[in-house]
Amino acid sequence: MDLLQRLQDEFKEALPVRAAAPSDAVDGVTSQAVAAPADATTAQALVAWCGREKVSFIPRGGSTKLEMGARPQSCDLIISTENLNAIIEHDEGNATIAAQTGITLAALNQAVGEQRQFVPLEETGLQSGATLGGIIATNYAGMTRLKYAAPRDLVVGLHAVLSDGRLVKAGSKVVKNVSGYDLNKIFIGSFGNLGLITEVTIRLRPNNAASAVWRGQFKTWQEAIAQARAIFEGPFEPTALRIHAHSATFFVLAQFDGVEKAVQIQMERLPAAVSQDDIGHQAGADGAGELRLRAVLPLQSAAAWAQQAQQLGADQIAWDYGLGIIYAIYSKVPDNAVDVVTKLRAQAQAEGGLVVVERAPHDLKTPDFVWGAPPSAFALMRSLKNTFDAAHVCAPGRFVGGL
Amino acid sequence: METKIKQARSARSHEPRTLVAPTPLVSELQAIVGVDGVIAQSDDLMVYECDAYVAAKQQPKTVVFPTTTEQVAAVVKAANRHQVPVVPRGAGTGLAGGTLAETDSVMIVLSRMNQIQEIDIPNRCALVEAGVVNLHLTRAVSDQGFCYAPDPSSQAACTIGGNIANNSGGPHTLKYGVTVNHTLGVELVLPNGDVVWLGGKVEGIPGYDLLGPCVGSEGTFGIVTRAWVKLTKLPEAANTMLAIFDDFDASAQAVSNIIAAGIIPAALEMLDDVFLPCIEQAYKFGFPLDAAAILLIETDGLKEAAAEEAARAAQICTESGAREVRTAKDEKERKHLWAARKGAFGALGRTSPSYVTQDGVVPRSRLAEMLKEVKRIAQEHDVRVANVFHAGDGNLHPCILFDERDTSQLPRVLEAGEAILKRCIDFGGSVTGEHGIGVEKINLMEYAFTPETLGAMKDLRNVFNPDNLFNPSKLLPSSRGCIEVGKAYQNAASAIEKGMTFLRRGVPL
Ligand SMILES: Cc1cc2nc3c(=O)[nH]c(=O)nc-3n(C[C@H](O)[C@H](O)[C@H](O)COP(=O)(O)OP(=O)(O)OC[C@H]3O[C@@H](n4cnc5c(N)ncnc54)[C@H](O)[C@@H]3O)c2cc1C
Repeated sequence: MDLLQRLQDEFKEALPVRAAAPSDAVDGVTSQAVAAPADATTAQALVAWCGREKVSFIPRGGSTKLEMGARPQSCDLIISTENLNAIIEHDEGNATIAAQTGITLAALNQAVGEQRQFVPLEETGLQSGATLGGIIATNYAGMTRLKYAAPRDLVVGLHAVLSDGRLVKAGSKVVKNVSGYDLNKIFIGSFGNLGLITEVTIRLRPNNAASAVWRGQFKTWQEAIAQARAIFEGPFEPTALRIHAHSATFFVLAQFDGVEKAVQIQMERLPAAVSQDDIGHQAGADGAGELRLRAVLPLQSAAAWAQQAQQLGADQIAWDYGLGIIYAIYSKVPDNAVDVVTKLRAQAQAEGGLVVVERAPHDLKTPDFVWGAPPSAFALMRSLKNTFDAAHVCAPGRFVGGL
Repeated sequence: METKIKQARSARSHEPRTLVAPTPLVSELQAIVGVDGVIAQSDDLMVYECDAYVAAKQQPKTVVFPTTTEQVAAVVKAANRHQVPVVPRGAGTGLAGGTLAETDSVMIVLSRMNQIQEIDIPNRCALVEAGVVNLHLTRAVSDQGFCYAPDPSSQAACTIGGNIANNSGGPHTLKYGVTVNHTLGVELVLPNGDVVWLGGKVEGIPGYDLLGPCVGSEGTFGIVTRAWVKLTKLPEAANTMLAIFDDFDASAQAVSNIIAAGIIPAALEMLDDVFLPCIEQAYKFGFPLDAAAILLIETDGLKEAAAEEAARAAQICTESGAREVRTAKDEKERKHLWAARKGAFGALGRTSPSYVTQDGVVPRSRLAEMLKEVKRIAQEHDVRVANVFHAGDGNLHPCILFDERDTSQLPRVLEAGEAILKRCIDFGGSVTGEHGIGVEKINLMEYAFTPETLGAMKDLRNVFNPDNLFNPSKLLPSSRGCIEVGKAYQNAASAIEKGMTFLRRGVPL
């Protein structure tokens, strides 16, 4: 019997489900059905059923980061969180919000905006429509992470359902908590590989009274780096600080937020800014590209790596100065993509850094190509996978070392 | 620029005495760390029978002082061969009994691994051995305008390894985050003696975030031997204020109002009228002795931002009923204020011979409500409570005062403590914000978590520590082990019968 039929028989009307379309494929792997549970209980039952029936699944939010991760080993079912989008509790006084994971960041922000708060997560400019769950499952932060920290540091509680049917309730809603092991962390950034995250409680920040973005244009890497460094080390508290290289043009973007006077003073300490109109959408924008790498590097090795990436054909570089994160974006996939990645990864690793491939043609996306060789703690990771997802149905093959 | 810093290894205070023939295990350990690196003599072991949670005591059989990761690994393997439990220990300032030994255990003390191995200012991080004292790291980088941000009140004594094991906080973690937010990577000797790195010098190493739960695992995942930690740029300016309240509830409401107004102070601490005379006597700051409570508020950042946030916070305090808001006039006065706050526990001995400190957390929106509950519970159990805490985080430290000479008080003290923590959970909070579960709060884990969630925690522990020979009897209920957990009353009661003392004046800080 086909999967769609089995799901319909099992869950009846309780589970919205349809046959998968070609557009539902993940990295070219087509699934048989798409299910979109509308409540947490059904979601839990569905994941448990998948575990029992050995039906592999990939959780899907807004699809903005679905291309990250290795090509799945199999994907019988897409579990879409589109119907799991309720706000559970906005505790303004505690500055937290609990919501189901299918809610979009935009919707969350709209809800908390009325209380002059915001969710310090970011749509990363690749595509809009990111969901809370997708951002948490990828631990994906944008350039404002410099001030607001990564999702990992902002989540205080979450619910996840495991393929053996268990519902794990990690953390709570308080902002400081050391009771027991912090189970939040293993799900954050796990790319759906340990279970389905159904609910997240996250810290909020108060709206900034003022906000300004400074942009400077430079002719060389050296000048751009000198400017970024002056901001990073000087009397500034940037929310974001990015060097953007587009062929031979360099921009530095610095964002300042907070009380009006402080924002104003920081802007005044800098030379005259280039207006957004002069530079079009180049500074700060980062196109997805066809091959897209993210490197993390110690400061002293970052410039050399970025230049090497350019020499190897990257047409855009976005370097989040102070975070040590560099995106190398190739609008066309180079013929020797594997060599390019291997070379750049080796260079990063020699300096104590790393490279992750965020986007690449499907056929290249083996676990080691995407993530690099497994880290020293891989045996522990495999053991964790074996206990939390003994049935190996949660996004199999997508993660490090083919987990 | 990378700077190498060498510090003198700490003085070897424990001269070994080999009066009786060493057991085979002791001989093996001596072969690994040298004769002066092992204690196996009962008198010398006394120091290691408890940490700052002194309600339960138990001497380890052997204490070892390794100086390298390789030695730690070899000691762990030796303990494994003899099938004896291992208990890690830093400075022993833990407040939850995390270092409490099993009768037959080997205790591994990290105090001789106290080198700062690398300071990398451009990348804002440092590589330290686990036994480095928290404050020593900050001192080593403050000239260059940096600090190690987590600042527990015990920072002059506690170790980075202990901080990592307990995921410790401090007054300034309100703005800057707790230990887990400042730990980039740890070198971990696993319970089987293998050495792995979780995380590293840079963030974002692919794979599950095992570093996250390792921070706060209270020594049950293995022994942290080295760590890459973040360094934080010191703010351009800091404004420190004292808001004085005649009404306790009003001070609690002021805290909620400040958070709700969208101010993120660097620190927001509260002390009540039991603490005020104690710290005034000890620190002579000029604290108001007739006030019901004070808030210690610090804003920092760029000069302009710190000043404006301070002014707003002061205004909210006044609107919430503060009788007066004083500002520290210079750096000296500011340091004086902080010394008094960080010494508060020590000063409590002036009013009570003994006390137990709780560490519950509630949502900041329910602080005033919870403090009323604390009062009610104290009355119901006929005990006195003193409050000092990280109010901005909702992290309460109600100290229940008693006199251990009157044994009838103790059951009431412990019952009141448990009642307070249960209320914290009922309010959507947690039984511990920074001190850890240890043995102290282990019987509350089942109240706080569902069986499924506890089961998942146990699964996670088994990934690292499948034989549960590493700090058994801690953190999770019904662990294997020789310590009777879940029976805090009996433990404490029998401790008292034996003339043992609770935390009191002269906490070694
Ligand atoms: C007066 C006073 C004030 C305090 N104030 C604060 C405060 O403001 N905030 C706060 O959070 N805490 C506070 N504490 C509690 C305590 O200081 C912290 O928990 C501290 O981090 C413990 O460090 P330590 O080196 O003393 O560790 P220990 O007490 O020796 O050990 C604590 C736990 O860590 C484990 N451990 C130690 N070293 C390692 C290692 N290298 N690898 C693996 N496991 C290890 C032990 O087994 C134990 O479970 C205070 C304590 C006192 C006495």
